Order: sequence, then C-alpha cells, then structure tokens
Amino acid sequence: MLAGICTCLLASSEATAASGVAGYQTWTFAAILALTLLMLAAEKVHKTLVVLLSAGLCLLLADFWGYFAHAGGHRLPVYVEMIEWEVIGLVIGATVFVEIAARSGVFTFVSVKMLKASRGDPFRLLILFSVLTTVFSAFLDNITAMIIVGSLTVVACRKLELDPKPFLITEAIMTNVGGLLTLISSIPNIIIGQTADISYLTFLIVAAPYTLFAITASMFVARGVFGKAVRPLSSPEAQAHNLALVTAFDEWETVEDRRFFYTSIVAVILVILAFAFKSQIPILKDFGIEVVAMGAAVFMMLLHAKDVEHDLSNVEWSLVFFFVGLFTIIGVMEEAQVLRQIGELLNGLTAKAGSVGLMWFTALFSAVTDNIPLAAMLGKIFGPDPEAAAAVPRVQWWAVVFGANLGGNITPIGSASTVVAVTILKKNGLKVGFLGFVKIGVAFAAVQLVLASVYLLILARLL
Amino acid sequence: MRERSLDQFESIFERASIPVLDIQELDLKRIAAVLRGDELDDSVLRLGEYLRRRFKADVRLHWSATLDAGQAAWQAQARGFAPAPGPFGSTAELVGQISIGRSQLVLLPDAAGETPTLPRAVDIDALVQGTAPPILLIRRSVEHPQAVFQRVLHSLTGNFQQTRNFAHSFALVEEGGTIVLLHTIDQTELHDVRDALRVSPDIAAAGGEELLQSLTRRGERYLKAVVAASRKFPYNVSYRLAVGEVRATVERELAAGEYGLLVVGRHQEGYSHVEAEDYQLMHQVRHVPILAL
Repeated sequence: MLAGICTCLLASSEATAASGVAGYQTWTFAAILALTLLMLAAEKVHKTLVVLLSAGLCLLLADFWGYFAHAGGHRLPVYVEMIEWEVIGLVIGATVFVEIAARSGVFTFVSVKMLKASRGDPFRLLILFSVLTTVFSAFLDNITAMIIVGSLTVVACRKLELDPKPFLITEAIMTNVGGLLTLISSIPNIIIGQTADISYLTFLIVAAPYTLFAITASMFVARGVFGKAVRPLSSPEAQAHNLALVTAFDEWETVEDRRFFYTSIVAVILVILAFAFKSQIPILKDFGIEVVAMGAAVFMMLLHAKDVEHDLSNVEWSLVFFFVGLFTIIGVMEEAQVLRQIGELLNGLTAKAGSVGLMWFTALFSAVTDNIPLAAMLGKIFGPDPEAAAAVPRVQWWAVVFGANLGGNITPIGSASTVVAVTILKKNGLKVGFLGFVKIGVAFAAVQLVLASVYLLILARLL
Repeated sequence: MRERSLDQFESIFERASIPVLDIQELDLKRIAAVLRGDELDDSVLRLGEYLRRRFKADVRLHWSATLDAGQAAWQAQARGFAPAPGPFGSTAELVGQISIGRSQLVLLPDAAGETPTLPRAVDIDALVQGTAPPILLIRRSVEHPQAVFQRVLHSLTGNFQQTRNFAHSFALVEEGGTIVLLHTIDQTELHDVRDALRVSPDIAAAGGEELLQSLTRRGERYLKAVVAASRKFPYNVSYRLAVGEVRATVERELAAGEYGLLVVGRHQEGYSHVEAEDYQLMHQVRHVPILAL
C-alpha cells in the first residue's frame, strides 16, 4: 500500500498543486502517515502514543503551512471539528454498558449452559462454543467475548482432559466472524456504519446470512484442520464420563446477585431493541446512535449504582485518546490532499478488481496492522462528507466491513481476539508460534473470504 | 487488564465447576458387633441381626472379658453370628480383633454413664483413633432397627474430606429413605475471624460479609457435589446450609426432622482426624445412634 501511495503521489503532484496545497507538503504528510502506519504495525510503542505524537506533528505542520485559519492561537475547539465524536461516544457508551452487563453474570451463565449442552463431547463443544463466541462478539466487544468464552474453555478442557488449543484458536477466529453481525460488534463497523449511514437493523439483516454461512463453513474447516483433537466421542463410557463432568458445572455459581442478573437481561434486551428499532421509535429516532449507547450506559449504571467509580474505570481511555489522535491525523491528511491521492489509487483498484478486490486488499492490510485506522481512513476517503458517502455504492462499504473484520483471522496479531487467545494459551503453558497460527488462520480466512467474495457479488446485485 | 480479567473469569468458572465425587456402592459383608455388658447390648444384637439379613453379611461378635463367655457364645449362635476367637480385655485388644476380622462396620453400645459394677473396658476415643471402619454408636434402645436407617442426618461440618467413607452412610440408608446433608457454618469461628480482621479496619469493613459469602459458597459447592454423586442411589438426598453454633444447629435439626441416625466424620484422606465439631457431636448427642465415619 505504501509503495502505491508513493506512485500515486508522484503521478498527481500537479493535481495537488492545483488544489492550493504544495506537492512537497502532501509528500511530507504522506511520509508521516506511512511512518505512523509502520509504527502501528511494528507495535513497539503503544498505539495511542504513536497516533497522539503523529497527530501533534501533523497539527504543528498544518498550522505552520496555514491550513487552519484560526484566531487567538492554538486552542482545542479549533481542532475538535476533525474528531468524529459520534464514534467516540458510541465506544464509551457501549464499553460501559457491556462491562456492567458482563459483570451481572448473564454471559457467564449462558456460557455454562452451553458447556452443559455440549455433553462434554469435543466436537459439540467446538460447535457450541464457536456459535457462542460469534453471538457474544455481536453484542459484546471482541476482547470481552473472547475472555469470557476463552476462560471457560480452559477450565472445561482441564476437566475434560482436552487440548484447549483447537478450541481457543477457533473461538478467536469466530469472534471476528461475530464482529460482522451488528453495527456495534466491532470498531470498523461503527466507523463505516456512521460514515455510510447504515442503520443497526439494516446492518444486521445484511450481515446475518453471511455470518450463518461462515459459521457452518468454519466448522468444516475446524474439523479438517484439528482432526482427532475435536473428534466426537464414540464409546458410551467416555460419553457418560464427560457428561458427568460437565453436568457438575453449576451456572448459578457464576451469578453473584440474582436481582441484578434478571434486571440486566431485561436491560440488554431493551437496549438491543432500542438499537434495532431506533428509527421507528418516535422520540428515539431523533437521537444519534451514540446518544442511545450513552443512555444505555447510564441506565446500566443506575441498575448497578453501588459501584459507579469502578464501572466508569472500565472505559478504555487509551482507545478514546487513540481515536482523538487518529481522527486528527485523518483530518489533516484530508486537508493535505493525501487522502484524495490514496482515494484515486483505490478507485483505480475498485475499477479493476471491483468490491471483491477492495475486500481482499482490506483483509490483507488488516492482517498485519490495526484495522481501526484502516477503516477510519477508508471511511474518510470514500465518504469525506455525507453527500459523497451516499454516492458510494453500498457494496463498497460492505467490502471494507468484511475485509476489516475477517482479515484479522490470518495472523495472531491481526485482531484483539486472536491476541487474547494466544495470551490464554501462553498463560496455560501452551504455545502457538506465529507461523503455526498463520497456517491455521489462513485456512479459515481463505474459506471465509472466498465465501464473502461470493456474498459481495450477490449483494452487488441486490443493494 | 486482560490478564486480570482472564484470572477473574477463570476463577468464576472454576467456582462453578462442582467437584465430581465418586461414591462407590458398598457391599457390606463383614460387621463387628461389640458387647460391653451395657444395657444397650440387646440393641446391638438386634441391629446386627437386622444388618446380617439385609446385607447377607457375616457378623462377628466381640465381647468384653468382664462378660460370661458361655452366654456370649449362646447369643452369637442364637443370632447367627460368628463369635470372635476370644474376649477382649482392653480397647487395644478390641482394635486388634476388629482389624484381624477386616470388619467394615463396628456396632458399639454406648449408654450414658458408667456402671460401677460393670466396667465397660472400651475407651471410645481410643477406638475411634485406632480403627478404620465406621463405628455405629448405639446411644438409646433400638426396638426397630429398620427405623434407624429410614431418615438420616449427615453432618458435613468441619470435615469436608470424609469422602472415603461416604459409601457406608449411603449404603445403610433404607431404599426409599431420606438422607439430609447438613453443613453448619460455625458462627463462633466466624466471630473469631471477624475479631481478628478488626485489626485492620479496611479489611474488617469489607471482609466480614465476604467471608460469610465465601464460606457459604464453599459449603454449598461441596454439598451439591455430594448430592450429584448420590443420584445413583435409590433414596432421596437433599442438603441444608445453616449458620450458627454447630451442636445447637444439629440438635435443632435432629429434633425437627425426626431422624433415626446422625452421621459425623472422623477421617480425612484415609487418616483418623476428628474435627472439634465432630468430636463434640460424637460425645454430646445422646438421643440418636451416631455413625462415626
């Protein structure tokens, strides 16, 4: 991608000069962007620090070259306009809501129920836990979903004397598939959904059939890749033994406060309905989705009023500041014409390879670096303003969503859930090397991406 | 943060995982019936005969040297018991005879108070320490042996590791009968721990309630494990969890539930280890037979 940016910049230096921004300035900002992306991929310095430093440098240079006409010196409100507060609001609201809901025991309760439903059979366990992570990651953030199901997997495998590796890797991969399901399942969805103005319900209707196909296909892949480790039990003695072990789990032991548990179930259902039917509910339809998310967070804090300090401490401030820096960089890049140049390059790509090509490009890029900056950049490139975003073919947005979510399955550092799976394995004295993971991840991702390619072609006709 | 969350959720799921106990079905084949010249000797003989028939077991009769050997032999013959090779003159001798006979259950009369003219020659504590099989202490006259095993109260307080001998109490319950597992969280001990925690006000503020919750959870978890393990047996198993003074709680439950037998633990991981609460119950509850596992 970086080489492409350079080629494109060389070819269009005249065009940049015509827009009032000198070619060397565009080059300078492109170099800063490339360096920022490289540092993010290298993961040597915390990603929030990388983007904040980069954003500071961008603002200083932009100010020096007179991009921002502001009076009275460097003041925050001047820069605030570049930041997409809707995304940040949604992230904060959803994080607080989900953290409190997770503590109510709702998700741990369902997890233990699923374990019991598996009857201790390895293949059933794999299928049920995969479905569970997919569904959880649709409503929780991917890390929380992976931590909950991954922790139970470790405990269950210890009791059942199974190797947890196949289960944890499959779950991590299915978390990314589940990340496709709803508008708030993953950050790229939130960013693209906000930019392309896709409603929660539309997102669900479009993504759900693919998710179903992907789960089914992935189970066949898992059976092929992991072989004996996930083979169904054949002897009645082993079946009875494993059944006794999983029956001994008590789901109520994971619930500390039953009143809070029941009220949380009601709250989760209400909030999902509010997200889904926001546009049909009279007062709610005037609110942004981020306001609904913040309202849901406050509602949950009311239910769990005894520990508000702790509830609020769960906000991932590093992620919030990461967004502040990232949106600032992207805002400056837009002013400096860097995004327009990359846009031309991508338009060339989509003209030749279509949305399918864009999806594969996004997936490969997401495999080696964070998919959030990529989604944010692509969002700004394709839809710098609401009119431009509306003019972009819908399927192009879906290509970015599919690529950004599924690409994370290829490498152990490709997504937060794969990182958590590797951490759990390490914690339990099991290791999976980078290449070892890639071998497995590629098998899953290839099937999922081929399936997504076909699905995009169908969507292109329908949307 | 991830590591902390992982640890938290792993411990939540570990807590939810009830231990799987394996309570073997017991084939009770060798029973030792002890005569001490006690007013309850007759009850021992009745119980021995009942158990011999029920389990088709061999009952060996052990008698104190203070008793008439001829009368003991006659008693044995009348009930279909086999007499021990000779009388026992001390607890140590009785322990030796029980050990040689590889008895799986000992029936011992234990009436209240000594009879000055008839020393009973058995030190209960020494017997409890020295023998491996469970001891059924007969504390009152038993007219209908079957009634003893209809409704059983099993106190699990203090000793959570008596699993080794569970099979005995479970085997003795009558088909269709009831066994109630009772775990009492010792309030006296709880107060002591709370007093100790008061040294640090921060811990005291948070610790008291959490301590009780943790003890309750631990007790409930174990009781559920026993209930789960006993599903294969043909009788009703339920459990109760209480907070209070152990002996008073057990006595109250015994009175309210019309139990025929109280079971207490005295072994831990294969070794004789009588917890303070079980010791109290074993010596102070006098109105029902006690099975010391």
